[in-house]
Amino acid sequence: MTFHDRTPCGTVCADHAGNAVSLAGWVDALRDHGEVLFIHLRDRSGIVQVVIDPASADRPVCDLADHLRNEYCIQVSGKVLKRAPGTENPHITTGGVEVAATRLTILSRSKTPPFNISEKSMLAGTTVHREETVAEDLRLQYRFLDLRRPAMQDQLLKRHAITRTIRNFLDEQGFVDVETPMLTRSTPEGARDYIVPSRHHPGTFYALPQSPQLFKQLLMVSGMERYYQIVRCFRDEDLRPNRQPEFTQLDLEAAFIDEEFIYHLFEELTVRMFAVGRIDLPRPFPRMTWLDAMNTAGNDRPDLRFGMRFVDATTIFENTRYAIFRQILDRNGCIKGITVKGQSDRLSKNILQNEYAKEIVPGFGAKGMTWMRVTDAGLESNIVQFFSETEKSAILERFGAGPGDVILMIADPSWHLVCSALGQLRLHVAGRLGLIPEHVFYPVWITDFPLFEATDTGVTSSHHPFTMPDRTDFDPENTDDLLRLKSRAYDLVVNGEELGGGSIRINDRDLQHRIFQALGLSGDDVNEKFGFFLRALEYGAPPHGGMAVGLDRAIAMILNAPSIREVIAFPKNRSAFCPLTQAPSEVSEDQLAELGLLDRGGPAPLPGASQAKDPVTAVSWVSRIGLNPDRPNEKESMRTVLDQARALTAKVRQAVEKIDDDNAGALFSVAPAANRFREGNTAKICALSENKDLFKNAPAMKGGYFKVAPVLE
Amino acid sequence: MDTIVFAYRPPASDTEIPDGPLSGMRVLLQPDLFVKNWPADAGSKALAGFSAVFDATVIARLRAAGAVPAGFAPMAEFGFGINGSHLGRILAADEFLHAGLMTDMLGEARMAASLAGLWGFKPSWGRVSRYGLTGLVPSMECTGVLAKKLSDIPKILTRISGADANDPSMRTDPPLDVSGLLDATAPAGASLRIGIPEALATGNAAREAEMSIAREALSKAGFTLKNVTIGDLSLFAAAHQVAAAVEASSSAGKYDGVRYGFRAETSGNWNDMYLETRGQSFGPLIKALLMQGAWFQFQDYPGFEAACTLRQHLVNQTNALFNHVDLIALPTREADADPLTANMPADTYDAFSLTLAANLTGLPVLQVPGTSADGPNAADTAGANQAPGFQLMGPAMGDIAVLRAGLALSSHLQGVIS
Repeated sequence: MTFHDRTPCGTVCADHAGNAVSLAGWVDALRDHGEVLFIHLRDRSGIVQVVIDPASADRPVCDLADHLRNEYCIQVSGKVLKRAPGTENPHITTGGVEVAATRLTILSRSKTPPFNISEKSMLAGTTVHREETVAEDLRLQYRFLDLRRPAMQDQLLKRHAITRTIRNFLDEQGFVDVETPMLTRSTPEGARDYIVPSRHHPGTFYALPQSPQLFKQLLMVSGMERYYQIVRCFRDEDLRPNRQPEFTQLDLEAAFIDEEFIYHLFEELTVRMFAVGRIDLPRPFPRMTWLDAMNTAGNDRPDLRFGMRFVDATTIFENTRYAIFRQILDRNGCIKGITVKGQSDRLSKNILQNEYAKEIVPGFGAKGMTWMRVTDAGLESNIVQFFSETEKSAILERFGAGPGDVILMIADPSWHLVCSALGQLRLHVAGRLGLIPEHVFYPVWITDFPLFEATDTGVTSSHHPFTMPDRTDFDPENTDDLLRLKSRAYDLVVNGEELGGGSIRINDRDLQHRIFQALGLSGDDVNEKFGFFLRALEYGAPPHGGMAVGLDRAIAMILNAPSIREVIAFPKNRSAFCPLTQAPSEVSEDQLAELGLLDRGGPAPLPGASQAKDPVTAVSWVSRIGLNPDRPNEKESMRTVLDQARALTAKVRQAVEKIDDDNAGALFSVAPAANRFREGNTAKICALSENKDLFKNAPAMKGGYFKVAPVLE
Repeated sequence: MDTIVFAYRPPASDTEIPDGPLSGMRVLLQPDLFVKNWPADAGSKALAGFSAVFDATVIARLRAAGAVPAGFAPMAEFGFGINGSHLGRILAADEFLHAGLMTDMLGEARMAASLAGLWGFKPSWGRVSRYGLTGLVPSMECTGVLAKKLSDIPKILTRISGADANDPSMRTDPPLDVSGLLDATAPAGASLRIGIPEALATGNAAREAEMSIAREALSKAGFTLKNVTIGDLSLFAAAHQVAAAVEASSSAGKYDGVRYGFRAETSGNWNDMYLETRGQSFGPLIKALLMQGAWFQFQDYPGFEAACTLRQHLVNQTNALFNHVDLIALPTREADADPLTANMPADTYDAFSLTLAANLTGLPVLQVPGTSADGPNAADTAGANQAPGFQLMGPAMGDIAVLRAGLALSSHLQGVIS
């Protein structure tokens, strides 16, 4: 068996007609026409039809072909024939030809796959019925089969094309791919680390990198000048549907550069990446300061594909009689709003008042929402009677609103809250009314972030502590001054998603120290956590900066994939579990012992262990029957009740031991078990569900569903 | 009369009742049986505000036969025990009521009948559909019938019994055939052998007195009395309690405040919602039983399996008794047991120690009312002056034999209306 003369299935074409070819691949589909058998043979390059016809193939070949099933791996030799006119298959690129087999070898048999792999119909005018309902966990468990699907292979091939584009471009620009370690040190910034116990140094741990941040900066100190890496990063964060515990990042750093270099470089790179998905991005990308983004879209990753930018209405109401606005403005609050153009037909009073004002907007954290519909007669709202004529005309003018428009406003003493709630409202309304254009890509640079954010005790870095501030003359003890600092950081946002971000870094040891000081880190803390890095800054660190792009997310966007799992070969599921390898899994006691992990708890109990050991608490939890904390004797009485339960089974066991009756198996019901089948064989909807009687007794429902508390807070 | 306090009485013109064999019969119910559009909280806060969206099979069959659902009597939570149950008392006191249906898991129907001086019958398990019964302990519970006149019991049973496609757990037997049973000329079964468990009929003054009345009546009816040994009743109780707690824990799993019933106000996530809703849904007795059930399910499942093995053994042992006797007579309640105030699993099981064997084994059993010092059916509200009476238990599916013996016996009982 040799494969040296193998022709890829997808490349067979009319030019080969009359030639002998040798093919190998998988049986995508079979069609049996009595004597003649048609096979769709699939390899990575595509599909070609193979015909096994007793007229051209020997008897043993025909007999062997009878045994073929879907997904058998086979080798075929034969002659390329043009298909008779009218029998061409438009679904496959090789649809004009077929291969008449003369030799057939079964290389490997296949069990029946748990789901359908074939995506191409064998007949013109019909389509393959693909069961889109294949559970994702089943697909992930049989990922090796899922990836046989041409659609999945195409995603991986395109992903490859994108990363190749990145490598080629950065290579042209003089960037060097340098690998940084995976087993590194836990640093206390950002998300939780994945930690790896060390066998040689029992009781100590490596951490998997959340990003190669410090290493890439060290490479700049080393004089590599231009570094990049397509690198795996690890973050042990809370579960989100579109988040993976490990993800791929394009990580880049360059010395002797400024922001303009990064903008220029990444705009060109992004344009080339999107071109792989046949998406044209116009350059230059617009830029927006963080403050503008917050003030006009309420979000530091604004979706600018549609309008509805914020209008500040605070000054309109400076002298208002409307008590709610009055109180908010007295507390230095602000009022912002959006105009929804020409949608008053679809945003009825009922929707605005009962859905948005009462339910949806409070969910965004705001206490309320003010709505006004613009009619030919002027403003219409439940509160418009509190506004003066001057205020009413100022509203119409400032919001540029006319008949048919709807104005939505949010007012609150907190500027942050107004922006954030109105930003969510803007997205909600646009999504609901279908105002977000599809297949449009709107990249934007967000700049001038605040360097610090306020916390209860002082300040914390908005980005990370190595980001260069816009000025260096600050007082690290003065919180107000610190909060006024801007950072030289930038984010690349497309359609409301952050594709990447970065900053110009601090290359001065003293400045870095003052930043740590501002963050309230003691000298010892800093030395313990970042000593190695600060030392490097003492040896002539060049000015430098960089950027990192989340590749999985970017590729999913370019390929219009519904989730990032569709563009990762072997992803974890939504619960950060791998159904294919069943990871994470338990390890043996021996392994733990070897790593010195067994008795680490020492005499101190593990957290939560005491609750698990208290039988009343444990039973209350597993049965989800809460005990009243205000009635401590309830818990004591339950303790007695469980003591009785133990005594009962003790008594039962004693009695069972004495039984010498061979017929005493466990009895669960006194009626003999019998198989019973429900009449009929078609699924039907319960009448009570159909006439909605099932909802009659519901404590809370919404839109045809029972409403419950959120799964996660 | 101040004792007649219904939990629910339908408006006069609730439903058209067709003419039928039970026309004119007014049946008192408990809110654990679904009657369409009636409140159906089964005595529990867990189902607060719940109203039935269909008729239970039993109710539909009663209506079809012409009987009138007269209302709901207050009941113990999920019908477990009779603390809070008023059905027996109301039925005895209200001259317009003829019979009552009461779920029997531990002996509740018989105990309520005993306290009120009424006839009470628990059919064989699987005779009567549980579709539309809220229930708690599926393998033990059975709709029991209480009546002032014994002859009303077979009339009702023949209507409500029999296979139901909506209850796949039950037996597939046809409705109970009572033809001939109520015919005065039918043979009274004088040749019946009645087993009396000696250990239960002696060594306790109250039981001894009651069982001697029973012996006298049984002998007068011409039955032959034999001694039998029924075994240690505390083992029946232990097996019953372990299995019942586990079944109750499973059955009550659905009370989570999502689709119906009570939901606690919480600010937390759905675990908090469940914990608080379920924590506040159940009264002390049910909460304790569910905690025991969860203990067996999650911490000692082999203990539950052992209880089921013991149950099989006790069922075999009890069935074997019927090789030597036709029926077994045994006392109903201890003089000092107070089922009306029992509010924890331990005292509840103590109060029902003499009745629960029939539930564990699924056997048919008739409560024969005791005589009252003040004449028939004249017990005071607490049943204190009401003699307990005794039980007649038959072999599996021997419901007819039990009722026939009861009818033969009734004319020989002093101070009891048959």
